[in-house]
Amino acid sequence: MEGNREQAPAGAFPADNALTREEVEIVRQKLWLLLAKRTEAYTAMDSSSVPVETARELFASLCFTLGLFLKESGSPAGRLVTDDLDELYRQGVRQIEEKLTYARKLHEAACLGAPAIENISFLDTLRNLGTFFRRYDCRFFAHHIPCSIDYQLCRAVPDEPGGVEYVTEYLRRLIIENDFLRRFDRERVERLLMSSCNDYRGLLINLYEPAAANAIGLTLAGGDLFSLDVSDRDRAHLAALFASLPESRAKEALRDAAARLCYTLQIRDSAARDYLAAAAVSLYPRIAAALPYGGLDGIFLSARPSH
Amino acid sequence: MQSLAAAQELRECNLFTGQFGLSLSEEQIERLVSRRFGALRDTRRVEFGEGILKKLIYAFCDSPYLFQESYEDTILELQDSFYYFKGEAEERLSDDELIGFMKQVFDGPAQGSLEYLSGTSLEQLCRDAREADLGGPARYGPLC
Repeated sequence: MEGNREQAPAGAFPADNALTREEVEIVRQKLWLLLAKRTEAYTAMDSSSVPVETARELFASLCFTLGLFLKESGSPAGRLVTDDLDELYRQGVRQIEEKLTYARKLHEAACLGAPAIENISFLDTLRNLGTFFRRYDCRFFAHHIPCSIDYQLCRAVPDEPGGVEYVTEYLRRLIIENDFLRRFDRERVERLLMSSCNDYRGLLINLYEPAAANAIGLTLAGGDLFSLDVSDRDRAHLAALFASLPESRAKEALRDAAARLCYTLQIRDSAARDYLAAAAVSLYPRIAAALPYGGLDGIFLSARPSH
Repeated sequence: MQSLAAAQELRECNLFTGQFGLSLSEEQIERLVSRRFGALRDTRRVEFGEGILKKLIYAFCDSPYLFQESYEDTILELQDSFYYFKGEAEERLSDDELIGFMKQVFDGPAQGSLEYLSGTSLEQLCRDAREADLGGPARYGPLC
């Protein structure tokens, strides 16, 4: 007779690997024993007890580590039932250490590939990400992100899972954005940013989004995409285009424009292509909201003239 | 399972404390073990393994101020104080440090007074521990 199926502890493990109630109980007991060992290691055996909050954090850390192991190894949650949890945990820690090494390389690439555009939050975040590697404690707080990440990406990284996974994905996306921006003349990008926001240097704005939006718009309008300057005529063309298309066709047009833009800019990396396509499609709700009120000048910008 | 193991440990303690005229009955052992989990709940702490009772008993059993008539009550209150002040000291004191201090004061200036111990000395100890520059928020925290 099949036992009642339950999801594993929420957020801890791949949600599509359901365990039976009995298996969940077995895993809980094994996790409790592992938590006892981790707590002993954490207190260096100086303390027989810890605050509940500390125990929760240590538990979240070991769940993060085990979850990462299951995901990276493509293992089903059933391994938590059948295998030695200590050994799975150790393998998870090793995988975290490998990811850290990779993330360090990504950080280096992000720093080296940063566009020479002044924006305080962008520069501070790059610097702060360096402190992540000094402060990150994969043994006891693997799920933590012990650094301040203020710079907002065009496509935000989901909060879960945290730890090195979040930072790795954040850096991947940042590198994609950096690479895109570097394909344009810096002064043209800065003039565009000035149109988007007077104090683009000091405020928490994303540098990629205005450039991507204008490049997409100019591709659709047949304008000079390297100018990053959408004229009134281009905007009128775009307004007429989107007004004539239902939602699905409009999104298809945006995706198609992103693909053509990637071809023109010789962006071959599939992750970068997908990123631009997603950024393009995400323009649609704003376009649809703006059209009835006459203009797309808040989305496809005319760059400020140079001083 | 933890309760059974804890109870067995207290029975074993009787073999040692007998020389000081101290022993715990089965009912007293049961109450102490049960109170342990209550004290942990009250102070929002989690404890794995053997717990602190055994250490407390071994530390205090030779005290000139510990008597058979008040043995259970004293150990109960010492346990409560221990868990409470572990938190008050923000985890800056190890178990051995805190127990060592408690014993020193109990046998010394407190002269067996638990009120003096917890109301005066332990409060001051925890204030000092919180204010001391120990290089971080707790004696064990995330390594930088």
